[in-house]
Amino acid sequence: MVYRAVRACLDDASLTMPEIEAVVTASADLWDGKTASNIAITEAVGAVMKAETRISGDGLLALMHGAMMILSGHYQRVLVVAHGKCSEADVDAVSNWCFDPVYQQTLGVTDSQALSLQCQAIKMRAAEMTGEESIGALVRAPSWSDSCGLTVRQGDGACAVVIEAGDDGIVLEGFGYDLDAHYLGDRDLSRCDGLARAAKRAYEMAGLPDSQTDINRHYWSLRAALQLPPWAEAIGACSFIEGLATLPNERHQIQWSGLPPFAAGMQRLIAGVKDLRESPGSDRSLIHGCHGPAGQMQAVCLLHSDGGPC
Amino acid sequence: MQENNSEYLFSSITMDLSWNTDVGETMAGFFQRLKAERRLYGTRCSNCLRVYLPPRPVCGNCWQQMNDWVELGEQGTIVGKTVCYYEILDSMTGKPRTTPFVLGLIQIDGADTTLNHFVETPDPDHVSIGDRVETVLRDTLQGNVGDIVHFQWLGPPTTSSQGSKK
Amino acid sequence: MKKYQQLRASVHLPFSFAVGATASRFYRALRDEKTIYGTRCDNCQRVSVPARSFCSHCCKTIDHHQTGQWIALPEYGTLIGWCETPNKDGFFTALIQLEGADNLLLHRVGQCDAVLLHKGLHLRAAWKASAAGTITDIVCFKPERRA
Ligand SMILES: [Zn+2]
Ligand SMILES: [Zn+2]
Repeated sequence: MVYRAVRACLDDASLTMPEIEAVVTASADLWDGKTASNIAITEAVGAVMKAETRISGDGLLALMHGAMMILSGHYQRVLVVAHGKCSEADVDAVSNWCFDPVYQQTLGVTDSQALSLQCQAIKMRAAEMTGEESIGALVRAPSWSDSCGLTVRQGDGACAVVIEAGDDGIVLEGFGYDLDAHYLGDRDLSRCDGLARAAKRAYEMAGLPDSQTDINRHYWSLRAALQLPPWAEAIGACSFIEGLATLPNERHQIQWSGLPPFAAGMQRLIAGVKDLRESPGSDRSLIHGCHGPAGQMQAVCLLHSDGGPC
Repeated sequence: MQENNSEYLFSSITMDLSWNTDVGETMAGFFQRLKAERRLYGTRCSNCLRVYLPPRPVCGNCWQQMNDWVELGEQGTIVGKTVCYYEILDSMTGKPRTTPFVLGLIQIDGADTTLNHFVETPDPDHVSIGDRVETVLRDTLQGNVGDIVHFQWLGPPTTSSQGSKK
Repeated sequence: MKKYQQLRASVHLPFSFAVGATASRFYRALRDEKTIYGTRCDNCQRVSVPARSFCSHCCKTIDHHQTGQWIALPEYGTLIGWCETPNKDGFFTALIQLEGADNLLLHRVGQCDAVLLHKGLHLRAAWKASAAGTITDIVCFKPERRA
């Protein structure tokens, strides 16, 4: 799976493995059922006798690490690979082990419980702000009510991209990430302040004073439809109420069919790059990634295309 | 006012997790061949000609997929060894293995890489690097790692045992 | 669909995590005094529950010996959020506002009809008869009628 993704990536970029200077991978031990789960893929990602770094988190963090290697001036071309599997483990049991062993793990909290608490918090915030009791009355856009309460399935997958130094074609203009409190009782789950901070860092790096300037499309790593209004609010795309009424729309792309954990952000990035390649003029997209219970870690990348070939 | 109780508490949690790990096409091919022919097979890189045992899907040196299967010998050479006096859990049985026992890096005739496995011998202290061993398979093969029971120590190489296997 | 050979890999590993000085005191108080403690940060005055060894807002140390920073919280509070599907044991994982705390206590609600659950519901801790010094010394929080 990982080899095929890397092969497809290098073919797409018309590169050979010796031209890759360094590799960054993203994977998660517990989910893969192996300790240091990058060890099993060293050959598949062509990292034998190369500078390889592993990130235990969403693939967008690996992308940022690769970008920082290039920005340091020491590397010109870095391969970034992310993979995740859900088919081999009992996801609920595994995700309980992602919580702290002092308090939350002993309570038996799981990823899906955290998501459920978050969705309920968002629903209650919506109900309080609009005075509407039922969520059906809250959401008016037909596309939205169809997907209301819908969750994005998690599956297996691997993604690979090559990034290199340069300033034409599709450029990674800015990126930012943020880690919110781990303890669920410390967070207002109906909002996403971590994402707001991550987005602000990305906008500043890209030199975009008015945050939403010319961002034409957003590619979301959602786990549930209800996350979209507060998260769109966090990046400054619209208000929470507007989000409830108008989302999702063609500016906000969601992969309903499923996303692999820890490779989700990279999958969204590739989707964004493919669309930018077909875009004739100057165009800008925002890529979102996250991991952790109820989206504890939030990451944002900004891509800009000058419309030229890439 | 100070609180000076210094009784420390522990959070006792047992990790009880299971995974259905897909062994992958390459290892599945290895086990199928082992079961059908009672023979070890390795994969060969068509570029650098290295033969990998255990078989790998991709040659890390050349970053190339390997599709050639090579039949390997029944004997091999110890290229590294250690004698264990401390009881550790045998990952195959989950029970401690009787000490002392020998763990060896074994280069099977025809392979370029080594396998690590148990070396069965009457005298652990007299196992040397360069000694010859023979693969011992269980009687009824099941097509998994447990099929290789251990490697039987044969002794220092003799002219007849060395290099005669293909 | 292609069928792949799979290995069933199971781990059964007993761990004993040292919870540390602060959580030890927190759990001792649950066990011996049936009291839930929070800690107040000298700098921002925020009260966090369960008790912390430092303030997560200011990064200031909170001494686990200093009684002044340790605040005994009431065993009752109000329901803020809960999982709509029950856990295997029938409880609902929930976020509870204890009176006097500035954050929420993650625990579970139960021993009641699920239709009763609503935001602001008054809850009280239901204690286990034999306490062991863990978070499950509180079985759950259950609804109570309050004047
Ligand atoms: Zn090779
Ligand atoms: Zn503070």
